[in-house]
Amino acid sequence: MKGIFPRILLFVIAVEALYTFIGMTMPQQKSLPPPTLAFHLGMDVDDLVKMGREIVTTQKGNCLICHTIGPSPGAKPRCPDLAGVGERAGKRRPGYTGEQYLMESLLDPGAYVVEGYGKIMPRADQPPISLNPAEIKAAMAFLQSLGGEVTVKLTKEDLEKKAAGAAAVTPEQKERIERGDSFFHGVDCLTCHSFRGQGPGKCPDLTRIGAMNSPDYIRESIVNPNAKIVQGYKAGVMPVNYATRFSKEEIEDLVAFLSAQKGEVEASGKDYAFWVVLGVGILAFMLDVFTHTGRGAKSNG
Amino acid sequence: MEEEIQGQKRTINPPDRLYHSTQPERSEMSNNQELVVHTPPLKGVLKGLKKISLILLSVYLILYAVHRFLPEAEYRHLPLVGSRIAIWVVAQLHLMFGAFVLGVPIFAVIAEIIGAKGKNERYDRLAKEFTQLLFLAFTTTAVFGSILLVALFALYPRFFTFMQKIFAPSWLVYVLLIFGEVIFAYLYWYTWDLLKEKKGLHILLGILLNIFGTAILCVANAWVTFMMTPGGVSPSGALTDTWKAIANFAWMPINIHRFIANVAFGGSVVAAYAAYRFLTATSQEERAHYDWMGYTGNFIAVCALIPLPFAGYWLGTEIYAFSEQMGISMMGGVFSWLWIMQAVLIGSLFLAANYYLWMGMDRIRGAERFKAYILPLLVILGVCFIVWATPHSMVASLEEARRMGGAHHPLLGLLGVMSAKNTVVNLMILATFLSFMLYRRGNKIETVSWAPLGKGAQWLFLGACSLWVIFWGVYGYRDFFGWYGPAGDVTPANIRVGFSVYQVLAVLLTMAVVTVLDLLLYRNARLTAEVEWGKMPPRSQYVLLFLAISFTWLMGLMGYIRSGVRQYWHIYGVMKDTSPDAYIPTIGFATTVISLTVLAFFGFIALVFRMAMASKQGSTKGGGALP
Repeated sequence: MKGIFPRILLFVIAVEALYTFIGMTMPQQKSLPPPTLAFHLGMDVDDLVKMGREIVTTQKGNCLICHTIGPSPGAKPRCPDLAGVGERAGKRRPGYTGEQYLMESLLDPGAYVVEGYGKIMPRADQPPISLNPAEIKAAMAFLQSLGGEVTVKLTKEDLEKKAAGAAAVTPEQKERIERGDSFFHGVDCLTCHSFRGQGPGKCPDLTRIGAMNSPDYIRESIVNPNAKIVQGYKAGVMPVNYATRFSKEEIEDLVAFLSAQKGEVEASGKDYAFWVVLGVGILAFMLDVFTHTGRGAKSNG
Repeated sequence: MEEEIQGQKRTINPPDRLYHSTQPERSEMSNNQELVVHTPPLKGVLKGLKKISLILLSVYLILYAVHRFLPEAEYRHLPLVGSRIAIWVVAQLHLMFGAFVLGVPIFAVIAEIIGAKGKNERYDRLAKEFTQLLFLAFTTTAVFGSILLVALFALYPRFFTFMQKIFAPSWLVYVLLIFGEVIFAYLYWYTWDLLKEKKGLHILLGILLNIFGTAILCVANAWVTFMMTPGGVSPSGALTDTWKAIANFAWMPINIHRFIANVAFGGSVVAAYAAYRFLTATSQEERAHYDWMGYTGNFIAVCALIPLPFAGYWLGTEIYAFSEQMGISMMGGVFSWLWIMQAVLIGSLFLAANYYLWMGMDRIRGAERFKAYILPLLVILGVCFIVWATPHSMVASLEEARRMGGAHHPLLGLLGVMSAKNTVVNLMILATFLSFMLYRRGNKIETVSWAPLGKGAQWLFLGACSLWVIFWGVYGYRDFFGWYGPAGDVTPANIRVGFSVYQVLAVLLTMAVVTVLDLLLYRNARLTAEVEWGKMPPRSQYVLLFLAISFTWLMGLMGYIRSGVRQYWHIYGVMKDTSPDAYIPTIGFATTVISLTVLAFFGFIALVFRMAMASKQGSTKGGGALP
């Protein structure tokens, strides 16, 4: 029986080697993260199209996971064939130029869906794709080049702006947020709402309102508070006269301030966990000592 | 309560028995190889609590030291191995041991219930033997978990800090659950003999142990699935809703998938242990016991394997619901070849499980009459395996690709799509089910008057189900009757995905109906012979070992796909991986890492079993029944 263990070990190694070998016989491809593209003002149309090709056909934009460029024999692709889209773009939606249509398709793909296809495309400017405005323009240029004339041009603003998810706060916005902060704490919001642990909580907590809702929603909630009611709260509690009581500028300041409330709450459960571990450890140790000395001795005696 | 000690009788109050024993503190094998536990329960629980507190406190101290003394950084590089490989291997080992310690108590309790209900001591012994093995595995799981935690904090501080912000409250819950798990695990073990007459109470302890274990799994799954399908955070990563972060898209499907997979994995490791003990057994009695244990472990593993693909479909659906792009990348992008690897593994598992059942017919006199079915079953399984393992696109030279008219072979390419694969998986499940049914009938002759009708109905169900499965598989290619568009057109992808549900439901229904009919058919059946446990060739035990290795390898592969599908993100769409390791390695590299991890796991588990066996034989000193 002594020889069994080495035999089993050899068997385990052999099976593993077989599976590794099968893995080795498959196509070996290392998949690298998408490259960072460098844009500059006054770029040549051909260069812009080339950049766009890089975005559309590689993992930068991941477009060809669902779309095809050219027919796909034997199977219907999940999303429309992009061949000829440059020519079709201007005719898809009445009143839309080709450029406007492509822009909408990338930034709000659910707004118009080609018949026979599902609403499955994610926004190109948001994670996980996160194209910045210059990259979106380049993708549009490439798409226009597929059967149409390239009219897209890069602007200075395109190069300055980042992707929507990573928008930076401008000095003007910062100023507006500060004014909104003073205004918020100066009016009677906290009579009903709660905010960062203050307020009675009769109305929804505003600590994270900016992370959960768009500025439009916040604006509507101020000027027309009964339009949408948060689950669990009643309509008719919040005054409906803010649109006339406050100036437009004051409301915009308030919207900017509330939109900036992303509420990054750092919970401290880990500290409690530490004390629980320490407590249980000490308790177990003490109980053990106690039972070994006091009761233990008594019982054994 | 009275006990006789050294010729004297003394009274011991029941509460005292919880902490004090009249016996030396150890476990020992009685004459009939039964393990007897003498250590008082509370003492055992305190021992467990001290051990886990010590491990957790050490982790806190190390984390504090890392935070205090290492300079701030987004990433730190581990020399030689690299950060990602280190995390990959340690996480996988933690997961494998975790799966074992969560899976084994589930079937230990089931075995105990079966034993108590049927008054069969053998099941009780099986449950007890494996519960004892758990404890060293518990410690190993905790140690790997601690290394993982420290390594994540030290090597990926930005990511770790972010996760800490989101999930801090769950840490407390996790720690409390760990203590609960330890308390009930030790109570379950140490009260085995004390509660011999109160089996219901002991089973309740086992159920509570499993509740805590499953809860731990759910909490840890929340962290893992959040990285894949995050919820409750804004695009900039601000926490908006803790519950949504926990109950994200993939959370519940992963909970269910892992729960079932843990049972299958636990069963296969138990069977492998039994195989080793069978091969090293010195008596026929021992061989019979471990043959029976191997069969039982394997039976549980295969039973759990059957619903696993269905749980996998649900997980896949949720991933598609979260992000169509992620779903398509997983199934059709850089990971597509790994599904062929998966097909090879699961196909091998089904073939090996069937082979083991067919060999098992040799230990049942009367089962020879069913041997004629083996060849057709083998053909069905073989053909299905080949179809399943057929890739959609071929590895071909430019010249070969030109001759084929592209990367897709005109005929074989058709077999590489999900319609074909879903069909053959379901047929393999039905074939395995049939193998088991025939095995079960081996030594039985039905006595009910309606037997021919009942058996005819069973065959009718199996045949109709197979045809139904094949019909929907074929319909996935063409909409022949124009139910979803113009007749004869290609069936749209979003429609054909739904056909797998019809196939799965039919297979589940058929298995349920045929099982019920079988139970009724063979009620009061005449036994032709007893099962001759131990009468199995040594190669059958290598099949059990093969099954355990393949299960473990499959876990490693699926873990890699699940984690890798995030691609260049730590948290998909929320936090990018900007480290030098932010790439998907080649399949060859990935399979090598998986193989080495699986090898390490088997090395560690062999050590755990060896130590447990040494302790069982009373060779360890120090009084604890457990190592």
